[in-house]
Amino acid sequence: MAAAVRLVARRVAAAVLVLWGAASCAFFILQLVPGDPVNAIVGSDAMVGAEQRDAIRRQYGLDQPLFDQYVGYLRHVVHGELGDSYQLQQPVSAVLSHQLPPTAELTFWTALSAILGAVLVTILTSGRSQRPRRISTVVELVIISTPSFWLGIMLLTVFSFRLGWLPVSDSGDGRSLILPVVTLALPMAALLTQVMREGLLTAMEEPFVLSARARGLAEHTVRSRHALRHAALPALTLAGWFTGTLLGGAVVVENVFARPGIGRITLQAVRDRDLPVVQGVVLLSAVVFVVISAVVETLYVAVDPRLRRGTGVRAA
Amino acid sequence: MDSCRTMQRATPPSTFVALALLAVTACGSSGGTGSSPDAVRPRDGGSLTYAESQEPGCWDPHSSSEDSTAFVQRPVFDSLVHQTPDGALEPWLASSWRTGKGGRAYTFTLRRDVIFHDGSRMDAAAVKANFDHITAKTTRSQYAAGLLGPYEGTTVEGTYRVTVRFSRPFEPFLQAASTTYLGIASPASLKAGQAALCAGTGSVGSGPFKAGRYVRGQQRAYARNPRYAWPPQSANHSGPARLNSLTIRFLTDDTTRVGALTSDQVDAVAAIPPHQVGILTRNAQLKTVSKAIPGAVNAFYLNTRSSPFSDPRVRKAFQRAIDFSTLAKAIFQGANSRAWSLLSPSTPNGYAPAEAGRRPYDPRLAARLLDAAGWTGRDAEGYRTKDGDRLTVVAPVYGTASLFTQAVQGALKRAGIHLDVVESADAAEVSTRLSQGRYDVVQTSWARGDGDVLSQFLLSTADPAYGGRNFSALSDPLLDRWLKAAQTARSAKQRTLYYAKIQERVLDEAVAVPAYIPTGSVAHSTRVHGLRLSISAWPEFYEVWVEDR
Amino acid sequence: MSAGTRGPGRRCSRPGPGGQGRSRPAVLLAAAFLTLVVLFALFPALFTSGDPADTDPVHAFAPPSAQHFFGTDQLGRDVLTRSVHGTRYSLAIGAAATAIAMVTATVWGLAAALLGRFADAVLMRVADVFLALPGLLLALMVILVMDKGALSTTAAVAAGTAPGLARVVRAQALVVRLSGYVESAIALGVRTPLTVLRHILPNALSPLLVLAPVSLGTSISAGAALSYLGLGLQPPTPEWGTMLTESQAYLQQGWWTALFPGLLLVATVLAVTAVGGHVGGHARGRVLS
Repeated sequence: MAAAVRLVARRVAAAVLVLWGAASCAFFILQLVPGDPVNAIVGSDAMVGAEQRDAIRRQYGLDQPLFDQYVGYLRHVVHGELGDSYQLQQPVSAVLSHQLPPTAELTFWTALSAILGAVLVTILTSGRSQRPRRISTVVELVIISTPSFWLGIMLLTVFSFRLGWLPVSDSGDGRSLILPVVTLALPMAALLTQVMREGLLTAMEEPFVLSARARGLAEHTVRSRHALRHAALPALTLAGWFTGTLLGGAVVVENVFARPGIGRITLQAVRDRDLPVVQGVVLLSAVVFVVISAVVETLYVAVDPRLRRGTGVRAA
Repeated sequence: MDSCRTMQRATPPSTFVALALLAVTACGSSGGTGSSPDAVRPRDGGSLTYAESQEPGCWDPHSSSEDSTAFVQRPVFDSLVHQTPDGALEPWLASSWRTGKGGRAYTFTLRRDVIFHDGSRMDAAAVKANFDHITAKTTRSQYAAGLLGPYEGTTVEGTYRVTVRFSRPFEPFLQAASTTYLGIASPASLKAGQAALCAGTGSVGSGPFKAGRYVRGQQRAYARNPRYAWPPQSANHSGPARLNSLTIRFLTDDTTRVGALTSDQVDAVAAIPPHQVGILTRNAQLKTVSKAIPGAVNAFYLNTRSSPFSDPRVRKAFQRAIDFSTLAKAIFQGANSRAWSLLSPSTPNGYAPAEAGRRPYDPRLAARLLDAAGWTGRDAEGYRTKDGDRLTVVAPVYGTASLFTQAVQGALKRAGIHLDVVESADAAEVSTRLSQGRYDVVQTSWARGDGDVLSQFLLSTADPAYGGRNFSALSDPLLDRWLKAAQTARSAKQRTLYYAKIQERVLDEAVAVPAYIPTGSVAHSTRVHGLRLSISAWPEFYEVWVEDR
Repeated sequence: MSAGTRGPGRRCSRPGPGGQGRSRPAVLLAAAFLTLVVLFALFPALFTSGDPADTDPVHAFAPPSAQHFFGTDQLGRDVLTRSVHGTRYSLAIGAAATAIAMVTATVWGLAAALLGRFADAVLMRVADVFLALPGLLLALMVILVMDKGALSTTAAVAAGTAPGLARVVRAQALVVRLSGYVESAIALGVRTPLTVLRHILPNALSPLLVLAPVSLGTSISAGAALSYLGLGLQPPTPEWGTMLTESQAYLQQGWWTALFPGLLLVATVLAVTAVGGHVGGHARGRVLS
């Protein structure tokens, strides 16, 4: 019991450390951004007077010494305040919470379809026959080598512009979600399939598979129930990591398909040098990472009973 | 920022010119095809969502020079005078006016029934408060104050009589008074300070719509002003606007904006890229209206104080090296045609038709001029050189260079001139560059329903460091004299004559090179009726009504 | 930068996708293509006579034909010429970024493994923080700090890749150090840190060398992605990513402006991964034996 408490405490401490690091990293790296932040704040209204510039500087606390700004920033972050956007005249937290739902929706459907697709292909291609596996391997390799932005552009060309089946940009209904999800899910599914199939093939040679077969279980039951569970472990690591990096994917895909969301607001913030928003996104993705890691670790234990004792595997 | 203004407004093909004319002349009936939906009776109520491509940086029309500011604030602010889509001036908040002191004073008699959105009354004191605000140092007006020219002061003559005084006769004033930049706001709202006014949250006017919730980067809402009863004379109905509410969404991305219309998320969109027009015309649910924008056409202003362009031969080579006719046709697919003079043909008191066809594309002449100017060498990339230096001209661009600019860049390369486009997303940086003269050429256009738009580009005093737009760095006493004479002349014919002389001189000296005539275009759902384009080719919402979905 | 950017660190702790089981002809084909691509980068004029910046708006959006194999774009520029000239940017950025990431990762990882527990803890926690952030986000921060251009693109791609690689080096260095191999060397009288380094470095580097090709592939595609997002190289540079950005507004008129540069990019990444996987497989075999 005490060991478990200590374990949890250590995990929490590590998580806090990562969050603090991410916040500090964002803060200090962005101090190096050249140019006067007041320019970014006034935007296209370039003829702002000196007094007004000073007022803006005071309003955003930019007139204080760097260390004070840092401490103030951390204090605000602890209270969940992420400051005000330079460009959008709103709190960063409001901007992010407004943009989160479309990205969460995209991410959810992507993860779901990638995992289902990967499981399906893995089962279909890990049989005795070599041919489907060979074909699948080549296809997977090609998909993995295809940058998602180009994949997205090609899907748009074919399904929206040529065939006219799907909307060109966000149309407010589910149909405009199909192409972005496919774009993000394909490479993810391909990578998951590779990892899972390898795990499955290794598992098929383990003694417990032999015993399952000896018990007279059908071959596909053996594969899908027992061995796949074994193969899920490394895949889980990968899946957890992927969910974190989906944010990176979202930046690209939301841009290709002109969808609203965290990715689009991130890119916009970088273009406009809206530093508080960039800091907010950095923190947000660190939080997502920490949460996903915790979930993946818990899932590990659920999938593999052997891990219920001991410290578990470090997730992603 | 100047260089980004109307330049990015787009442009449907010429097949729409007929439609546009219809929209202009039919004033409000939106000229349908087939079984005319105009037979349907106008309906009160409903809402309209309009997608715009540019969001103003500052929402105070008295301070900002952006044309998007003038457009998004038009529903909120009325003006003393109204300019009809075909350029005539008519009463609005002022029921009549007369000039005195030989053109140096304008006395307006105001309507007595006008009430601002905050409940206060529009009177002579309110008009004075507005002109005082525009000309106050703290407003830092980038354009409105310039529109007032030799402004001296405003005198309240009675509760509803007010006189605006100038140090010399100033003929362009009435047209200036019709723009949103000189719109009349509630005096109480002007006390909120520049920050609040610029933020767009404190706009209080007397217009048919009240400013509603504004979410930066997304949209601004407008609600009908139920007390509205003072539309301009030419309006097709009286009383409050027909729409219950109006929303202007800001969708900068072309594909998204057009997609929002085709997927029925918005009712109308602005700035349709030429290559998208085809998609929209094939759609039976949509209609497009367009109109040539009056004022200064899209042109290249050559910095006569920079090293290559101080030589008139290099300027003339630039003028002759680009085949604007072919470029405009290829790039705009018929939507915008090439310009031969600085003022657009639709500019009241300004067009110089005599320039059409003069100084055409002549690559051999351009080559001879450059040879004569000493740019005889060639480097590895094919650019001309003199004493080992490449013939490079720097063109600062706020945002990204348009396809047309890139095509010009390609054309100049063939002539051996390197057009170095310096893109920047930082408005302050671009503006500093311009005010310090660190450029060779500026490409820009400026919408205005009067030829006087030229004085901000050509007057020697219109220094970019102080909000002027004399990008060619001219100090030509003759031009200065003619520009002032054109402001003073009392007859339209005389003014047109002066502007023709001015343009001829500028083109002969090749200090400005006209490129193309920009067109404003709006595509909308066929459920939308009564949408007409203003003189500056922006949609007007007062008469608009929508059918039930 | 697709989701795969940070992949190498993890993906390749197991046999890489380009590894074993690929038949010889496929690898040969990939190698031949790679040679061609390198020639494109070094001597573009051998393959196209035109200038990638030459515009001809009157002949914009000409479909692929005998005159223009890949068609022309919105300004009438030849897509083939631009694609061939674009090769050098992608290859150079990919290679430079990979090299920078490798060196940084080696120094970082070795320092963590060799400088003692405290340094290890600090360096690895810092790497944790960087790993907690998507590679693209790190890249974007680098671009904010530096001016847009080839240099910042390279640095940004490297920043996105290095933390994952650093962990691999450190893990391998720990394994080597704990193997007793170095201890015995010390016992035999080898004392200077430099010598220790000389023994550890080659062993710690071997997994990194296996990762190099995959890393090169993802770096090439990440550089193109940054340019596509408008944060890397800028138009009118004929880089594959910028060409794809420019093409996106005109998919209706000229799908070929998007198809061909993208195909070249995919084929290059694929070939690098395949050839690299093959070579890497051999290298690993040698190290293990």
